[in-house]
Amino acid sequence: MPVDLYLRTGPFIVHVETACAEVVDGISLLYDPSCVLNRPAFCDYHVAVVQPLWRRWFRPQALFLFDGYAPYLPGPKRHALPMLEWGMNWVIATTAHQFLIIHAAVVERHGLALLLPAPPGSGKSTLCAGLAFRGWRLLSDELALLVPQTGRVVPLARPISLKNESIDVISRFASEAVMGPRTEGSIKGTIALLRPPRASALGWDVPAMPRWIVFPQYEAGAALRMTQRSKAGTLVELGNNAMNYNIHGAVGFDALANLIDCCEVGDFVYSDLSAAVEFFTAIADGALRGDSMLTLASAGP
Amino acid sequence: MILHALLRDPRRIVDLSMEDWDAAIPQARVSGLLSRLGALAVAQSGYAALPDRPRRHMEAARLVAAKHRRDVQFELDRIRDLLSSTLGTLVLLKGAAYVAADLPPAEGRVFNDIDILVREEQLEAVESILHLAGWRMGSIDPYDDRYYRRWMHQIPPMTHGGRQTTIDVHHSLIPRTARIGTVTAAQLMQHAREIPARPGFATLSPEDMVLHSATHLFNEGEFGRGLRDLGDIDLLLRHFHDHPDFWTRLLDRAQELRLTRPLFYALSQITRIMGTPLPTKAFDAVRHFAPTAPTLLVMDWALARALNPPHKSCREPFSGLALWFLYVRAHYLRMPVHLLVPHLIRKAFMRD
Amino acid sequence: MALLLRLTKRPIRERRWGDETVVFDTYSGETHHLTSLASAMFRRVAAVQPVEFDAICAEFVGVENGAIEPEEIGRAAARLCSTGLLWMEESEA
Repeated sequence: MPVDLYLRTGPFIVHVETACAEVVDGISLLYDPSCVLNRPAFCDYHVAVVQPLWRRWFRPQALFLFDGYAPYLPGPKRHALPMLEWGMNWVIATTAHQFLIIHAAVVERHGLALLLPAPPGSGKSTLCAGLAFRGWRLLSDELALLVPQTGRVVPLARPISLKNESIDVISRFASEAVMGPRTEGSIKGTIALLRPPRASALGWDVPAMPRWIVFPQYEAGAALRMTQRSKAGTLVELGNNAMNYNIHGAVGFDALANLIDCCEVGDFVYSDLSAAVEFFTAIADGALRGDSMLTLASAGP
Repeated sequence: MILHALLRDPRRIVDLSMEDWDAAIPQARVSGLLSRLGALAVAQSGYAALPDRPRRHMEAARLVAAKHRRDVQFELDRIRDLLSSTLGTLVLLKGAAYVAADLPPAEGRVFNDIDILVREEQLEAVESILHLAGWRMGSIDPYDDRYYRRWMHQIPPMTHGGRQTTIDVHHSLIPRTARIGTVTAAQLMQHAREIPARPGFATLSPEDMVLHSATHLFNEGEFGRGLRDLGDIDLLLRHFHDHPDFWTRLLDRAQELRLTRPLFYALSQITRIMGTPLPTKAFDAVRHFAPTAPTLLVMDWALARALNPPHKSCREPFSGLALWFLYVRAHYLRMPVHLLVPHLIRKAFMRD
Repeated sequence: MALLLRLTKRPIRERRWGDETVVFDTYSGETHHLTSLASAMFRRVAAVQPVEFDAICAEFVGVENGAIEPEEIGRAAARLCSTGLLWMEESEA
């Protein structure tokens, strides 16, 4: 029997209809109770995770629906929960044009936001999760929602998606973290979803002012280093990384240019998560004293 | 259906409850009408007081539509640069025409292709000019290619490699083999009107635009965007309502081009769903264009289902059957029976 | 007869960081990232236009930051024109 759940994710209320136990159990494990609402009068999005009838018994599948339509092909039923998460991100990224949406992780400390734009495999999710469990607030592991008029970033505060090795890394790094079941065999490899710390979930309506834009790259065995990068080049790269930059036209250009103006921008290489987390925490604390990220970086560990 | 009610009387937008919005937004979204709903909302005096959540969805959709209009204007300039020396004034159809001429259906509309009308003898030249400039037909099944060229009123769509925009080149309003007669580009171009604000471009005459839209909707069997296309006709009729002799010319032209049947369906469905005001004489004249009683019953049954928002909240029994019926009918109108059956069978297999 | 470079009449927005310029062309919807020579040329023409192509060559050829050849200037000008940010015309003089 399908169940109706109503989730709050940042500015959005999502109605999830599903009969998949993986989804129902996953939500109760990974979402703070304050984010699971009683049926509201209006939902921003109506989605569903269903099992196509013809694949109910033989290699059962799950299918994500938005307003009754499937944006992408079904997957194995064990991926039902990640499919819901990807699906919700897809829906937000393709419709929520009140924001300029950049594909990046966002965390906050002292009211200042660190944006981590990066392609898959760069280690951004690991870094994002590490910071979230060492005193930073998670806004999102995937989508930076930038308000063009104010320049602030708005949280989604949903479970963090971890892949392959980073699942073990985070399990060791944050033993108190609540993690969903590992599911194997997706195109991304093995996936697990991580419940955000309670403070992050409770901060669902607290925006943050961007201060640093850092492109992370995990490199096994490499020494930690932060190098300067071209601001002009960063604007173009963020535009390429933004789901809806083109839609906003000149307003989008101005919003990204303003973002770049008020941020320090760098390339970051790391191999040790603890060292990376300490480094960024020092930078955030240093910002309160007026220190710049690159000055601290060149001062050495 | 709340969406129908709002299209009929947009003033009700400012009175909706949150529960109403919870139904209206998804219905509008799946119908391709969310930005148009936003445009209707903005025109109401109570707009600023609308609740935030639904308002944001409509505004986001309007941003997409605005971006689309900018893109189309840019694309039209590129196409004009390419084709004007060969074709002279470019005659635009459908969405591209509405945008270029700034007609009401342009507001809040997103469409995929730019449609132009050329004479049949110019097709080959146009195709090769576009091809040389980087427009390609995309990998198309040889059967579909032959089907297009032989039976359809347009060549297969061509897509620009770099910009990924698509252009549809039409040489007639309706397919070549249509039982109800043919309408050539020459017939339509005779009455085409230059767009003063957009030199180098023309639209069809007002009555031809309405007839084209009606024929496209009711004879081509594609009802995915049916409600939106019907909305276009509604907006065109309201816009041209007071033009001198518009209604007389519309009725005369429908008879001249033998497009009275689609006009009948358009006007009867529009008055049913949107309450569009028609002058009495038009209403009386159009009734003569109706099919026989049994056909009328079946078509009313089918169209009532096909023109609902394609959302589960609006699904009535046998909606699927109705859509299939209209699809088959469109092909029947287009092709002789001995070709129709193998075509449908082939299409049924290809869908899998 | 001289070649003149002018700034496009299209509505554009630009931002500058150091030597690099990013220009947004509202008409085409494209974003252009200009570095080194192209950036300098664009800024030069944007500041005072029209500029004679020969004058630009004289200014930029052999400047301290590398021996720039006239062909490079020609190529940069051609690229800027093909993207629509600058346009070239012949003057009667």
